[in-house]
Amino acid sequence: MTKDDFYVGYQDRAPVSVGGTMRRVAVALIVVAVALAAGLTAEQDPFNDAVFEFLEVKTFEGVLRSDPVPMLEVTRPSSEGASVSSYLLVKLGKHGADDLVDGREGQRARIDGTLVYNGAVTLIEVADGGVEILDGTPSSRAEPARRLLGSRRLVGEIVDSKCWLGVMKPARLKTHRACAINCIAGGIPPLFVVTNGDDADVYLLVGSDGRTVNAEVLDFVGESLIVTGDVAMMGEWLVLSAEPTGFTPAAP
Amino acid sequence: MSLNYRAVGWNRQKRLYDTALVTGIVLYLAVFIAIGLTTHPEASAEVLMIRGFGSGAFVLLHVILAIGPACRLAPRLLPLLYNRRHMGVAMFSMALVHGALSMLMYHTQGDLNPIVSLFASNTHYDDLMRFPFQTLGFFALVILAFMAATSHDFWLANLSAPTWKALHMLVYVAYAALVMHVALGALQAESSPLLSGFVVVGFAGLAALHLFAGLRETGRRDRSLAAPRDGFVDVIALDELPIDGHGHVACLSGERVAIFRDGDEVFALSNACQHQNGPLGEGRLIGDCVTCPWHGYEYERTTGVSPAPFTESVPTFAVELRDGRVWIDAKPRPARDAHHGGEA
Ligand code: HEM
Ligand code: FES
Repeated sequence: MTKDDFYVGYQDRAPVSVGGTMRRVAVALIVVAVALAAGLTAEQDPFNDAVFEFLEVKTFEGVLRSDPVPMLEVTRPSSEGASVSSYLLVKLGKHGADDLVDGREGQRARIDGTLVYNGAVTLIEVADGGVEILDGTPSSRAEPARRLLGSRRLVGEIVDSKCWLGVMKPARLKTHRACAINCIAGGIPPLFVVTNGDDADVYLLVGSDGRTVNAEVLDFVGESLIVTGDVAMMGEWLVLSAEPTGFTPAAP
Repeated sequence: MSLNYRAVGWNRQKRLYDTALVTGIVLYLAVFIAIGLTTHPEASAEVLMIRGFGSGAFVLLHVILAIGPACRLAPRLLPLLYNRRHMGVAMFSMALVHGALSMLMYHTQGDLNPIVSLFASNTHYDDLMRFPFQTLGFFALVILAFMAATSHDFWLANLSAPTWKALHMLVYVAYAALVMHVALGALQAESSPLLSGFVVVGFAGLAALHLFAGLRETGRRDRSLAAPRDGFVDVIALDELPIDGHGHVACLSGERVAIFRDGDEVFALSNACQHQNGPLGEGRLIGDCVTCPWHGYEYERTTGVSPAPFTESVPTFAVELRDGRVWIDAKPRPARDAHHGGEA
């Protein structure tokens, strides 16, 4: 009755041969696991370079707009005179800012919030209680509301503006769909994004009559779609007016 | 219901096992996040953590599922089996971080309660390609939580071994759900051939291992023995039985019997360990006890009773030596009540 290399787990020492085998197996498993980790992480699809200034609250002054979605028109001094930027407004979490601008169209306000931006367009995540009305007299628009660019047939995807502009990465496709649905259902304006390589054209998505379509697009979020509608330029924003009933799935 | 379970204390081997396990996990996560931040500087920290913990748990689950059949094919690996539950609990912990972070990011701070949101945000349950894959991860996480919570031998003793074993077979259900969780989630969004390759190769590899181990097991089903005479069956020549403490497994009227030899004495016990049905015949006769190869439960060689304070016992079989051959009573002696008149 020798014990040869029989392993008994509650004895303090394993037989030498068993110990050696186990050491080799453990090292091999760890090496394979670490190589997998390196490969999987390096092989991730690229992320966009959107920015979320997490935890940085800044103060902005401008004019509140509610059409087509809550925005703050900010006049920015530049070398060629003043230019106007329209920042999308949303609240903390997965909530839109409709109630912040209700009945305040055209009023001057000071807003505390966090910047989120991706390419040419910017969004402010308004801090809790971060709206202070400076002047209740409505002012008129600083520039022509819209310049029509014509009708277009686009292939792209519906995303929520808050995540897409930088709060979450990745903010599109199947893995992000549930989140985007929650955001859009909560009043965050939907965007239609047309990606071509590393670039993306971003459209504010509204109904053909300019209404918000959040509830109507929930079923289409995060999927490749064909959308036909009218495109207009509004400040730095492209606005796509299209009827959700006409959205059709595109082959991915 | 017995409250007796074996509280195997901490020892050097357990510490080595857990050190290797924790080292592996820490290295995996550190490498995943550090290299991720280097190759993808625009990535957000949360998504690297979600992916690091999720993929780490999934990789470890493959190791856990491979150990069983691997040990059947290569008994030298048996030490891996001893503390496999530690791997299970570690894997669950990683999966929990992954699930909790995903819930936090994708399902909190909205209009819906996070659990409601998990099930009600993406509602395409009727469509495979659009299926809400996160619910599958949740389902698997619930199973893994249940298994981690009942992994202690305390539960094994209280739920009874067959129930416990059946419950822990649910790990295969969890694995299936997770394959779909990844296939209908990350694989639809990410183009990495390594991720899809891992899922496919992992599945094929596990299936092959289980199949081979199963075939080997069936192949081992013993040569048919002669019909019994006065209840006893001629099993093997005494000389053919190993004398170094190894055992021999025979199949008597449907029941597998573990046979050990010490000099000219032969002992026969039921082959199924009371702990988790480990094959006692592949264990060793050490001193007066047969020791199970899986987790080291011991049974006194003549009575089949575990040495005090333990209370498990297995049925034994009467043995007779006739003309240099080993004859064994086909009818087992019932397992004895431990330590109640257990004379040899
Ligand atoms: C409440 C439960 C769970 C939720 C809400 C959840 C959610 C998610 C989400 C949203 C993704 C996509 C992440 C991305 O690629 O951007 C994902 C991927 C993944 N999940 Fe889960 N999951 C859960 C449970 C689990 C469990 C229990 C495991 C494994 C043990 C797991 C393993 C994975 C793996 C391997 C991936 C693909 C790689 C990755 O992207 O991380 N998940 N999960
Ligand atoms: S099966 Fe666990 S010790 Fe026998």
